[in-house]
Amino acid sequence: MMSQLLSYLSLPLVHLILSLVVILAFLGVNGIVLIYVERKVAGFIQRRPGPYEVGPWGLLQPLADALKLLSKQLVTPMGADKILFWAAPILSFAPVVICFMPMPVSPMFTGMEMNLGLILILAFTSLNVLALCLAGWSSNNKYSLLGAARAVSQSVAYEIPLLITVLAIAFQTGSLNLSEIVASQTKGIWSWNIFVQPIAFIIYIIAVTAETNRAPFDLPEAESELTAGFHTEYAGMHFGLFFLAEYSYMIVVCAVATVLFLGGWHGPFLSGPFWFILKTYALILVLMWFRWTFPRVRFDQLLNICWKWLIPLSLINLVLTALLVKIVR
Amino acid sequence: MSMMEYLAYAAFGLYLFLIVAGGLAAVLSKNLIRSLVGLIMTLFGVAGMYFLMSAPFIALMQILIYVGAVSVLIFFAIMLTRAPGGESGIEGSTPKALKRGLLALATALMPAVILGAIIIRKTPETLPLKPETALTVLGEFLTGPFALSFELISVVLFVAMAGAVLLGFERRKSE
Amino acid sequence: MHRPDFIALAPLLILALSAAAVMLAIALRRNHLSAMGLSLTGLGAALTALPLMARYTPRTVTPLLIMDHFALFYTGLILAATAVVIVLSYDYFSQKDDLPEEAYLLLLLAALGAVILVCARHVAALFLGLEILSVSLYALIAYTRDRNISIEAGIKYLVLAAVSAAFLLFGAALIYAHTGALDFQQLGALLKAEPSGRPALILLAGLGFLVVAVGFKLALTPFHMWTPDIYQGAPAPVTAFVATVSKGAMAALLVRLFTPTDLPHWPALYLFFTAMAAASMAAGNLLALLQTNVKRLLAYSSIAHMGYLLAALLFSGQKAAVVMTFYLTVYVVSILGCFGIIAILSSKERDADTCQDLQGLFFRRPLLTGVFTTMLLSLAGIPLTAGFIGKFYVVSAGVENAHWFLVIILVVFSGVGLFYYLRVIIAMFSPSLDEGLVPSPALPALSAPVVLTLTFLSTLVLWLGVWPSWFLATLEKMLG
Repeated sequence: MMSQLLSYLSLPLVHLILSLVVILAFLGVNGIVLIYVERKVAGFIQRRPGPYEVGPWGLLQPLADALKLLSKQLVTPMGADKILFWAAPILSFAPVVICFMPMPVSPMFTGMEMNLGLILILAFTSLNVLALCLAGWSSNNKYSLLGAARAVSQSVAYEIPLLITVLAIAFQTGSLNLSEIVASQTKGIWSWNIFVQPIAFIIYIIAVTAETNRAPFDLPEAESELTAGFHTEYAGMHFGLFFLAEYSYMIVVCAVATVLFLGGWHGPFLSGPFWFILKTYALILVLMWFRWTFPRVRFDQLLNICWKWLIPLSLINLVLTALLVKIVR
Repeated sequence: MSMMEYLAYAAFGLYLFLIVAGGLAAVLSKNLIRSLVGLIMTLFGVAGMYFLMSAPFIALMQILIYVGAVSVLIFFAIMLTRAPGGESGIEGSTPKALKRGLLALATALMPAVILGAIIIRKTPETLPLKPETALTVLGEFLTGPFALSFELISVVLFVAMAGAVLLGFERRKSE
Repeated sequence: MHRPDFIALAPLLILALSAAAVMLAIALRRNHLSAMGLSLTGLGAALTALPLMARYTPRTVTPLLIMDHFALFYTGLILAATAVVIVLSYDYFSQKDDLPEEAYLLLLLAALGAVILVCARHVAALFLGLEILSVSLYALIAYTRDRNISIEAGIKYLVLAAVSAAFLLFGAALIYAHTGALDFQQLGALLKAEPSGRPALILLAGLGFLVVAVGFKLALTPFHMWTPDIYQGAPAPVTAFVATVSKGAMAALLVRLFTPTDLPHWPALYLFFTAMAAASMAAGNLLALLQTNVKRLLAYSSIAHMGYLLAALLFSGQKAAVVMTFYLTVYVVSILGCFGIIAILSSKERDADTCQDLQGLFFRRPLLTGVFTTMLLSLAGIPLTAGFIGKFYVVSAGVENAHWFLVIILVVFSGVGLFYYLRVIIAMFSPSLDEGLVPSPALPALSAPVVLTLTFLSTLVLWLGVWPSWFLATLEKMLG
């Protein structure tokens, strides 16, 4: 019985479906956890308790939130493009699931071993902006449209330094396989890429903050200017999906950062997955810290940071990396 | 491995559907954004076909560049033009428009019909699928013997950029 | 890549460098004269590089390009034609108050694309060269963007060129699917090895698509619809460029693609080519009869000329290169003269392209009229001009190989063609109808370089018409 089950498990298809299920479950839990963490962190930084009414220390608050979203009516505004309006949230969430497939959570467990894992993640994370565009346009609302326009110019701009820095890491490792990138960092903490490529790490973190539309780069949904940006018109679980997608993208980019810069599952005493998740969530805390520390940038500042600083810096970093790699080999 | 084979057929069907339906949506819908969505569907389907033909790098590049960047830029361009809805002009069902549509259909179908006839008359033999080309091999090929084509592509992009800037540039002397 | 490779690529490198130099010069300081001077210097340098690198040829540079004598000759032709276009367009662009400098940048890059086309020995190079050429032409055709007709022409060219590029790629894909080769040499060998009579249909379809794409670019008859609109809409110097460099490069490519495949070996393709050639000759000449606009007239006549060229390819088998090259050279020289003169006569607002504009030109501008007349007579194929010799060679090759059908069509429709060329000439020599009523537009003074260029072009036409043997012998030595 057991051996039969195991033999089924070794089938690629079963493996694939199983990983998908695990990932989906993980993303759901992650969303709930992150809502709580975000609100608590915001509370601590602003010297207030955060949610504490529902359950002990407010632990059940995210569940209440989720329940509220689930029970709300789904409203489609007048004059909206119905098909696209409904498709956008799904399109926003669906690609994230694929992004987790090549993630090396531990030396043993990877959803799908892939030589091009890094490119796969980059390709599918870049789809999010498309969903934002569709959401903004199909809502037939000027705030949504403005939010979408901002999302496009922002993500198109910040994708460039992101890709270039990731390329520098790939140069150094000589591989796009995430497992191999982790494997190249297992020689002690000083072999982690954060110490080898500090500039790349800084650029990466700034770029992904912008890519995930997090404050201080949250212009596509700037509440004070655009009501809620591209998801102004979304209610109920539609909005919930966008919300879930945002947190899922956060964890994707942080997990990639863990793999690229923090040595992935590598660490003493504890087993691989534990270290992996610990590092990932530490990075997420850093992103939250950003959010509640920095004021929102102006739009011209946002683009200036990218085009005048990040892109030239990342190019210099790339050229230097290439030179050093050539010399070392 | 017969299950995988069936799966491959299913995937082929799915991608084919995406390509054809997307193409039809792109051509037939009156709304520019919906056309764009159709185009994106087609591009996705093509990416899937690359996957099936064991060229995952090309497939991912297709998604990264065409779906993630090019179509987003097209979207941006549509939004920047004055009519955000992008409703197409009144090209209703006047006889002339009908005739034009029929002509366009005939022109578009001609290559398809020729190819279809050829395939029906003489089914080409199934080619053995080559194993996935390693990325390093691909890279060395592109930067070695085909480095020149790499450079030429950059010239193409440069020309396109120069031309676009030139034609879109504000006039020096305002009229 | 080794050093000889770079030397062999010298003309391309110089062209690209001078394009970059022009761009930087524009970025630093806009100056029309210096932009033109820089581009002419670049072209001159590339031209002088040609004989210097001749001893390194033939050389295959990477799998993409081959620098042989054929490529050298056509590179020279393209560079010289581009230089002539630039000289003749200086006055044209300087009367416009709208950024004249970038035209040179685009012209240089377009020339680069054309050079790549004539050096191509691989489908990738063919496609890339074609794209560089077409993309710069989109911008050049719409260059006078205050005229709606230019913008319209640009859009039309964009759409049609994109469609034809799609055909090219699809054809190449089909051919690759069957043969597994994208290299012209390999491809030619594989095609020759195909069993004659019943070739594989996929291959035939692929070749068909390829021919459609080439036909689009050359404006051969079923695919000629774009030509008149684009000739009329584009600024006159750009039209000259489209008519000479773009089509010349494509014709050279046709020779390279189809001489090794041994066309009669492929009856279906051969029939298709014959039909296209005959239809182009007929349609071009007949439709030109109705035109009153000189640019449109020349557009239709160019369709006919491309038909003659295709006939030359079909007639002469292995000697096709020589006959076609001679004809093409003559055609390029004559057309450059025609459009050059239209460019000179054009005013700020519009191009001088109607018959009324030319009415009585003889009494105002005898020199220009003389040159224009020579060029038109050469296009018509009147003895003592180069055009006659070119046509004579084509016809004699046809008679030699007993292609009576095409020869008869060629001769008959050349006769028809005479009529519309003469109409333009007669308009120039007859007195103005509205003399005194409307003051004839003040014509700009001719600058020395323009006069020199025009004299050079007409001398060339007459010289090749009277004493072609030296040029022919050179061609045979180089290409034969």
